[in-house]
Amino acid sequence: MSTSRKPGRRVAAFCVGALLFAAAACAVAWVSLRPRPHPVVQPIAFSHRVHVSGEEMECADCHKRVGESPHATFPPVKYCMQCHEEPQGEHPDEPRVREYAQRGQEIPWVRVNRLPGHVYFSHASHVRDAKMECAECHGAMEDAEAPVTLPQIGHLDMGTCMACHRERGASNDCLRCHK
Amino acid sequence: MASDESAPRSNPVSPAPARSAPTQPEAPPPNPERRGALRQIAALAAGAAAFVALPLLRPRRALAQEDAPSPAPGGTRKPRWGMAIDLDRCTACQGCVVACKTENNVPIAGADQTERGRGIFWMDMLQTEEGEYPDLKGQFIPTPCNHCDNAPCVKVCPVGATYINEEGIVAQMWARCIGCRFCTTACPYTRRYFNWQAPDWSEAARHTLNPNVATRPKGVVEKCTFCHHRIRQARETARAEGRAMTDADVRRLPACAQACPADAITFGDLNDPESELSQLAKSPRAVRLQEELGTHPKVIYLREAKWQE
Repeated sequence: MSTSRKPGRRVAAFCVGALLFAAAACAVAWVSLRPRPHPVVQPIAFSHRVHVSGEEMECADCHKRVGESPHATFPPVKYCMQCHEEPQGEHPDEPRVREYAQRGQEIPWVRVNRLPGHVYFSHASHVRDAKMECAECHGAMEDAEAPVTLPQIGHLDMGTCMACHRERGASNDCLRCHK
Repeated sequence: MASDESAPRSNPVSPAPARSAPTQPEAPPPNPERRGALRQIAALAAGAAAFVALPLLRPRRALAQEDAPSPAPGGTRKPRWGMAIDLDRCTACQGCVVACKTENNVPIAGADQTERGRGIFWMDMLQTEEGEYPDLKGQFIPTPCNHCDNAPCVKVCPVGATYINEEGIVAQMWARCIGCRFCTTACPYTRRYFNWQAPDWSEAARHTLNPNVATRPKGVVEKCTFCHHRIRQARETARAEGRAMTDADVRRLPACAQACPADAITFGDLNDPESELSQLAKSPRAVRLQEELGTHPKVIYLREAKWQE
């Protein structure tokens, strides 16, 4: 009896082992090969912490259109020059802000947060109408020392949007966000 | 519009007689072996006849009754978007057709593909003819999607890519569409278009694409959306100004209505009895395309008044 059962057990053990191996291989492949956004290179080592925590500036001081437009917008270099006309510190990137301004060139900030082409998102609807805080999506920018090189909004997919809309009683009609 | 009796069958404005009942299957031939198969075919035909005839048996509601405002639960009345097209004002200039193509990034299929019936026109100009030369009478009918309340296209979609939204717009989610084309077949107005090829934008066109409307890839079905992105924009503008959206905001909202030099197209809320559209819907000239199908379109045509008579 025992001899006749052995091959069956071996086959079962082999199958289980193969399945475990395949699962492990899939997990490793997913972790290492999944599509991830590449970090971008920002032209200036801008520190949100220095500006928000140190100088007590509000998000909307620079991202001015956040309450009135779909886009939050970057500030023009002349806005930076209101303070940086005179040296404010000793960071090596600070004179470069003045160089951009003298050349009459905008600082070529690289946008990191992007939505798919068939999604519509309005900052104004969320900030002005729904009275949401910027940090609810963008996290604690007041602690961000390094410039933003990767999307700070983690796991932003349709499920995230819809869960929040459901929670707050906002419409989940497809046409509300899709275009 | 001339008399309906002389109108060809293809004329969609004419209240054509209800679909003729399918012909009875032919009497079985003397060959007894084929009798069983023929009986099955006859049963299938009877089933198909019942399927076609059932919607026709439903009583047709009067136009005014259809347009009566339907109170939404919770007290707040949602709009029910509709459109009126005055055929007496339309000069068939095709301004609406061009405006729609530009506004909605509708791809240009090219002459060859268009000749094969693969052109895409969310707003099209349908031409009907009556009589024979020299007593020929032509009629041009601008035809957007009818945004039916009882939309056949929505019923057949196997993946829920098309649905009627809370404001009555028959929406199409390009990203969810699998391109089976059931809906293009089901639509009795042929207002749905399949992307047979990837859009081929010229360098100039690429720079003038509307960022508020997504471009569609090859293999999905697309259609008129009543310019819902403009509705969204108008709503956000009104909210920013701290007021509700009014009839004046939407009266010429869609690109076709805005472009029409003859003011033939009126957009509005059918749930608002005061809207210009609701007033037009009460006109004795108001008809809808193929009303006998029971699709309850929300595009209302104001047919030509009989000036000659």
